[in-house]
Amino acid sequence: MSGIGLLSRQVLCELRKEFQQYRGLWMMPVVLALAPVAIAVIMAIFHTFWSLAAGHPITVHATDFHLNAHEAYFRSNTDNSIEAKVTTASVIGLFATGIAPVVGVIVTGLYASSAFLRDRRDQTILFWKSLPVPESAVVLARILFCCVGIPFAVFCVQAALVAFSSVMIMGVFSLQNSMAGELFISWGNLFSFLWSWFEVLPLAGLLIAMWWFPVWALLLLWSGIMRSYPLLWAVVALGLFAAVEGIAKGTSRGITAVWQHLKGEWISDFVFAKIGNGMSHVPLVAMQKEKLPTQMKVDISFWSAVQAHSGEMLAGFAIGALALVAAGYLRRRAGPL
Amino acid sequence: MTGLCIDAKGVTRRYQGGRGIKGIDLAIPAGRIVGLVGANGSGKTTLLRAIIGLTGAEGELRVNGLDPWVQRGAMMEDVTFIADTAILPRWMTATQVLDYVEGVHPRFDREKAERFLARTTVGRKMKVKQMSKGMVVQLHLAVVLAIDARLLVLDEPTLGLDLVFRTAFYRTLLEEFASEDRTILVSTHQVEEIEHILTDVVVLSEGKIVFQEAMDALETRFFELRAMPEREQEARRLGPVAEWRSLGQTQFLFDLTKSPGVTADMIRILGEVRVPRLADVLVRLMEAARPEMVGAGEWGHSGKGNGQ
Repeated sequence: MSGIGLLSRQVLCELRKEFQQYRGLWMMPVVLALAPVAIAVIMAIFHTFWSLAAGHPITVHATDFHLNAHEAYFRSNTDNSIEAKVTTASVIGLFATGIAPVVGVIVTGLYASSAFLRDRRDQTILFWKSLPVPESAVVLARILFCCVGIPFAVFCVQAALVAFSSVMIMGVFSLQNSMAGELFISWGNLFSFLWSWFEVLPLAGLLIAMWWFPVWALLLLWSGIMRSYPLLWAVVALGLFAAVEGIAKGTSRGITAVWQHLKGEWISDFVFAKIGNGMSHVPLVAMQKEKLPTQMKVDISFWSAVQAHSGEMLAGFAIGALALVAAGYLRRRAGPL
Repeated sequence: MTGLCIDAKGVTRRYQGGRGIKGIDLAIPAGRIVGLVGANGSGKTTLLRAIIGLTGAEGELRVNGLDPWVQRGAMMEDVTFIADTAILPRWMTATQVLDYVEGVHPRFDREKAERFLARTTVGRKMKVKQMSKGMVVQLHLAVVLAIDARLLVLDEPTLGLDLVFRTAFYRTLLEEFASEDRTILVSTHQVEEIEHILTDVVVLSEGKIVFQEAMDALETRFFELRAMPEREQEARRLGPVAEWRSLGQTQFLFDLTKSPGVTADMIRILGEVRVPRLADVLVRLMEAARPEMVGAGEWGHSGKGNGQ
């Protein structure tokens, strides 16, 4: 087997090992995103049977649900209406797609900031190091777990939630339409709106992975340097950095720049713009679009988004790559603590 | 290539507090089973870790012709290592361990590992944390023995195991791994349990090699004399490397390489002579090298040399 072939296989095995070892970590965004929907579904089922027991028959309303470019409205669940329950669960499902990336970022931060420290604290490092796995393969696997592994889990749960919500909403929509004498779901409003999520989610995931690459790489390096509480010391170091700048120069540009990068607001702008594409007549969407760089206003594509931030991205890649090389060097020298 | 499995010249690694290894010279040809013996803190683990490239060291060190620190990746394809039987990841199942090693090691024979495990009680879906120490050893052995390596490094591999497992461990090593072109380097405190499988022994004390010899040569080099009381002075004049009293009698250890002109026959006429066990020789030599290790009572004796 060629050197590159072997290295690739080793990286994949390391990545699989990370998935197996840190199952609880990558499953956290999955579970927390699914939980609200599961709770909504369980509550809907209980409410249905409770209402039946109380003498309220199951009802279906043909007119009280609207979700299109102009408005989102559904009937509150005051009676035992089935479409209101379904729609509630579906809308919660769509909102829950936002939980997964937030939790994903948090767990990735926890993972990256302690990955190499955990290695050294664990005597099993002697087992791992008894095998001919180069440090480069280990470091690559760790950054892939941060930039691809956990984001992939996040994407999967988001896709599952969107699919669930789509099926539910379209089911109700079909029901309503058929009751109103219309046979098909309108391609021009609801279906395209839901489908746009499937297009936007992977692109947004890719942008987040690229944008956060230097952050995860620096945290991995930090975990190779520190001997205890790496995340706490990272916060302390940032605090000191901000304090020194504040005292010496009276400014807070450094910490602001870090915060702006961490927020990565342009990615959420891209997401909203992409989802709201073609809905410029909606005031909220129009307002959102105004925040975009000119290039993205003209062409709201993935590449235009990347090009609009190419300078920062390249700088991030350079910083991240250096951090990973340093992390690999430190791990090479590290024995058990 | 040097033709040696391990070739060390002046290998030094110092830690804070003066520990580490100092100027280690070691030449181990292929096919040998070498016991690395020494008291706690004598530098055994440091030397083993330098050999497998886990720690850097000054001096010249080659393992199968490769620099363990610079060419570690390539070197470890030919070297396996058991640091301690309990270091397999506790969260992994037996299958996951085999899957992982199969994926990362180009010379791992999965079928061989499966065949070995089939003879044990280790369940494939069993997690390491659910296994007894003996089962962990069996799993680790299955991994190690299925790797087509030329050097096996063992650092206190049977620590915490009972006698049955310790015996089985070394028997399996002999049956499954040892061959003319494969080398085993094993550090242990329980030298009496492995002396019958060793071809060579190296004794470390305070980071230095104080004794290095082939096991075959021990029989012609060392003699233990239980001297007749009236001939004790004669025995002392022959220059024993150690002297102690046991069961009311004075005993001497002779190293013929340290007593020029003395022959085995000259010792035999002074009393009852026997070939000492390796463990006895090592204890005497280590005590001689580190006088503070000498105990009280009958173990109190004069150290008169420092081995080699």
